[in-house]
Amino acid sequence: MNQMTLGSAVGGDAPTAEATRRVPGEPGVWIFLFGDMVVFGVFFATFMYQRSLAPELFDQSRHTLSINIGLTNTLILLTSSLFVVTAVRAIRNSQRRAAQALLAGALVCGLAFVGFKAIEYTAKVSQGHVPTENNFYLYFFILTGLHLFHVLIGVAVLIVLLTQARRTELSVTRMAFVEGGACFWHLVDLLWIVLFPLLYLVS
Amino acid sequence: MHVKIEKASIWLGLGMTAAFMVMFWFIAGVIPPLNPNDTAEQTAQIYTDRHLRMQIGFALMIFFAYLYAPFFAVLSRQVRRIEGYWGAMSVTQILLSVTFPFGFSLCSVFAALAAYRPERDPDVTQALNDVFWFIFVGLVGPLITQVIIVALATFIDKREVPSFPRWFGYFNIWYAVLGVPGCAIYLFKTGPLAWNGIFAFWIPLTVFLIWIIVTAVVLLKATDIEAAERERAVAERTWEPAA
Repeated sequence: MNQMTLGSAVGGDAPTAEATRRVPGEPGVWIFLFGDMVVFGVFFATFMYQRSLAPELFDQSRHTLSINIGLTNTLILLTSSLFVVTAVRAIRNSQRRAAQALLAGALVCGLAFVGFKAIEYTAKVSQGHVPTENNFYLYFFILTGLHLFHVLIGVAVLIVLLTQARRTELSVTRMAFVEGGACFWHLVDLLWIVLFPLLYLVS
Repeated sequence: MHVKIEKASIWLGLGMTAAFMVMFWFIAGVIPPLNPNDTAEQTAQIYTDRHLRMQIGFALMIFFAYLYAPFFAVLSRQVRRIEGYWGAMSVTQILLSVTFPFGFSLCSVFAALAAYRPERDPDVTQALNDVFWFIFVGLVGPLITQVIIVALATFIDKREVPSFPRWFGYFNIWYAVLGVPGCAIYLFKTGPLAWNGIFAFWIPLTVFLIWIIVTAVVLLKATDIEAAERERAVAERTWEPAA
């Protein structure tokens, strides 16, 4: 019964969603998101340029990173994005309980990412891999550090979204804010998806 | 008259930014930045070679930096209009607006000091040079706090005709996030986060130039919105109550 009502609701929504195509969140939030992406693009290009200056050094250093932690963190962020997508859908359908549980799940993922990053940093430093060791580790710490800074902002955003999920009815502005916040979390995920292969995998 | 003064203040901010680039880039020659990894002798040599250019460039900045103040006065007033009274946001905006011209002036004093007697012990010149960059590039907290306040003010503006468009709030958050890496220069002598690095210097400088131009355009529009509001208030004889 529940499944049926859900199915019909989704089926009923689909044509209207197609008829009025719109940007998620308010258009303004995309100034921030695209602006951030452009600058991270510059960061990545700088890294690739530095890499081309000393390919052997970068490749040797790359092998000293722990791929397991990197991969775990990738899976954690992908899972968190899935939580956020489903949470936004739940908020839209006024399913408060589900939305809160899903956002809490995303929040746990975000904190787990920070935890694993802390373990990774501690391990690297105790093995003597510090930013001053060579250019690879300099960029490793700076790029992952800037990304971690975004994750921390994202965690704060998720906490705000969690407070919004308690409401049954959201005004248009609030709903746009929720979508914008969710998009920011996806940006954090996306940046890591680029950063992970760039640092850990590209040979 | 009011509108003309406000708009002149905004244009003055843009003019000062152009003057800043001329003074620091073409006269003093500190953009592109010096290398923090240089030895004391190398740094002192640069100050010896260019001492006259540097003294003129920095003397101009020490004197003219305060022409930035009216621009920030307009910004603070617009935040106050959103708040509706002199609340914590607008007063903080004013307090931090003092640091912007003063920071430019103060860092220039140290660099002018370094160029004043370049024949002295190179270690002293190097230390003065370090202080210049630590203030010029590293003191990012005040402006970042200011743009976060502008972003918050944009988001909470519930008036019928808001002063700032909502995208301007997100734009300010973008600037705040990209300005932060500047605060890391105290920890690095080489690489992208050193004071001559791409993440700590070139990106924040580019983003600052974009920010001041966009903010000027938005403030010019906000001044028009305010002027229209005042005209309506005069016609309906409903003046803003004195807070």
